[in-house]
Amino acid sequence: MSKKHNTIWTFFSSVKLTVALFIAIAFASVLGTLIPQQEAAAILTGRLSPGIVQILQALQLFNIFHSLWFTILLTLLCLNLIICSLNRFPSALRQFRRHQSPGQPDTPDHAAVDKQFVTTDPPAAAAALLSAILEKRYGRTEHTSEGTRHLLYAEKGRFSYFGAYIVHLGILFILGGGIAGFLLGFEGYMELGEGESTDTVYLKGTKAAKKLPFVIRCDRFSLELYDDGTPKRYRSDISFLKGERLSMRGTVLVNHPIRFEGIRFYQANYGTIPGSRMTMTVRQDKEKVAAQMIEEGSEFDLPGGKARVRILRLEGNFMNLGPAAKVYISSPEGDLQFWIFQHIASIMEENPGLLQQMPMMNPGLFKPYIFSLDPGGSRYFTGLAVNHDPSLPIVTAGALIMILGLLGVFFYDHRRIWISLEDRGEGTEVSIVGRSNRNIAGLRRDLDLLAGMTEVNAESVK
Amino acid sequence: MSHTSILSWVTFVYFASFLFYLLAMLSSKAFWGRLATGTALAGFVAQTLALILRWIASYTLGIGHVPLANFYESLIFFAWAVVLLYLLIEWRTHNRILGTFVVPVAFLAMALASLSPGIDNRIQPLIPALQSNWLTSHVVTCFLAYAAFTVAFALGVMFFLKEGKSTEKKWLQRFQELIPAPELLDELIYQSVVMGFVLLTLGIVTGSVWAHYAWGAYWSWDPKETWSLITWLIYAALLHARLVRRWQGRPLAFLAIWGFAAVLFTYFGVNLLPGLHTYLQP
Repeated sequence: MSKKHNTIWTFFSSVKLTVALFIAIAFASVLGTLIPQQEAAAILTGRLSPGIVQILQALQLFNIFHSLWFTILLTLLCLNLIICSLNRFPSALRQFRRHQSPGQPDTPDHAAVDKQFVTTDPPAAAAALLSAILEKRYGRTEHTSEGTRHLLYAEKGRFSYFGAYIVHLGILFILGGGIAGFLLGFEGYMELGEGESTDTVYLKGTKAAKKLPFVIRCDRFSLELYDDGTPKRYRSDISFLKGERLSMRGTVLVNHPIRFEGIRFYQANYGTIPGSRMTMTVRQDKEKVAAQMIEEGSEFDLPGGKARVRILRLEGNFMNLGPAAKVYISSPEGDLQFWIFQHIASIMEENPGLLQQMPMMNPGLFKPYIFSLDPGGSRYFTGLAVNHDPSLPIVTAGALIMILGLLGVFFYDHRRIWISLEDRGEGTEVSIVGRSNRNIAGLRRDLDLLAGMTEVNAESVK
Repeated sequence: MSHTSILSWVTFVYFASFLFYLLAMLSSKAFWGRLATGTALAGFVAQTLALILRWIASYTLGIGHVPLANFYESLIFFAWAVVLLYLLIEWRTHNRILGTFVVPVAFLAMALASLSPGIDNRIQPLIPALQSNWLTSHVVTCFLAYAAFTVAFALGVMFFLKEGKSTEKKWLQRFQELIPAPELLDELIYQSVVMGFVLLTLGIVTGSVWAHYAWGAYWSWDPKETWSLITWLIYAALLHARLVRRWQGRPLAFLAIWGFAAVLFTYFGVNLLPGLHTYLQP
């Protein structure tokens, strides 16, 4: 086994390296939380001199967690983990496979508890009693006797030698899956106004546009508030379209993403597109008879259902007179089109007699109604985080393996107990030897229990 | 009596309990010890009751949720977990000395929650990001872990007091006499760190699952996530030192104290750092 003496191998198999890497990664992480990272770094870089910024950028201090040197630290930790585990695994396997005979206890090590005392019970009776307790707590118990000498041996938790390797395997899965996800998957973001659709995602960090193999449309965004005004629910109703065909419809809520073709959509934020919508109000004898949110192409009926209004055009600033809408009214009395201005009152004040010259600007052209245009009814947009991570099952498996391993490491130990009972004339000398690979307290409890059962009759306790 | 006023009273009950533990230590009269335990237990029962009342009250308000949703509630739960863990250890080890070091931490958490003007003690409705089944499991595992690390920290402090230079000061001599043997402290530090480490791991994993559903990424190097990793690494170093290198005593006590500093920063300090997640500020 020449590799065992290889210096590189020795270097990577040391736990000192593990602890040093833990400290290095922890220190880098501290820096990563103190120095603003990625997008947040812009404010800081603006204040520093260009020379310093260049140095900091060369050291990748504004993107520590994705920097080359941080990746190297994580890779070193992986190597250390693998080589440490490979190095120690054979001895764990030996420990696991080792057969122990009842007569020869191990030499005491750091986790040993020994007890010796004399009881008045005859050896066979005491052996039967102790054997029963061991059977109950440890399972199968070996019991041999030579004349008046009885030997007992029991053990449990052999598999606990593997706990640490299972934890390490889980961590490798998580780190490997994390790196694979970073390389193969993507994290992006999109904003969609109500009614809008897109197939483009903007990637996190680089802001590069990425095309999806389908189109996603936001049908509706709604916001619900509690009585005190704090947000209660953000909800996006979205549709997925393949070609022109609707493939799936669904709802995205915070904590309830939607998945389509392996890509997940999360409710990330929302906002309003100001002034993108107008409200058209219709009055008859100063009474409001209809109010409708409009956009180009939208239609609505006037009361009675005889006349229909269609919005032909919606202009933000028409003829320098501010927002205006061109309507087309179809009715049994004939069709009609004219313009409706938001600021009609001030326009008329400045240009008296305008309506006579230009009837197309008269909001009361279709009698008996008077139309008006109001801003507001701004449209919502929904902000969706769009992620794809093919390695998610690996990371999930890693987390489960790690937790199982931790339970194995910390809540199980290989516990072995040897008992010898020998007739010494004036009583039976009982000698209990216990060994555990890590839980000395648990071992002591077991020995106390065993001794307690026999010591009731004990004459002297050593 | 409303749940908030019970909780304000519990703050003083824990302070009294701390004084009794201290008196028990200095006077070595069993009476003070029993009184200290009784007071801590009474405070714990009252606090449990107040938590239940608060839970019920949230449903009466029509915004029912577990009382683990804001900073105030987290501090209360932290104190509750610390006292619960301490009382269990006292019951198992029949030793009250740890109380002098642990109960004041619970008192301080309660005092911060009850007296700090910046901390809103009202029951607030759950913002969308918090409306998740992972809220309870994540918060409970994390704060039980913090409680275990608090105990390990107190034991670490006791270790250094015990190992400290011999001193002229009478009270310190008395402390040194009463604090159990370093070997026992070492074992107890190890056991509480094990408990905390397993719970913290579960807390980070449940948090990651939650982040996966809420934000779309199970790990995004957010300051809270990063600091929980730093904390995890410190305790991982402690456990490796102990299990593989068989280190005992001083270095473990040292790491238990540094680990707790990282816990405190994960809990409080991170609020001072800029976070990028939406919805965190309603």
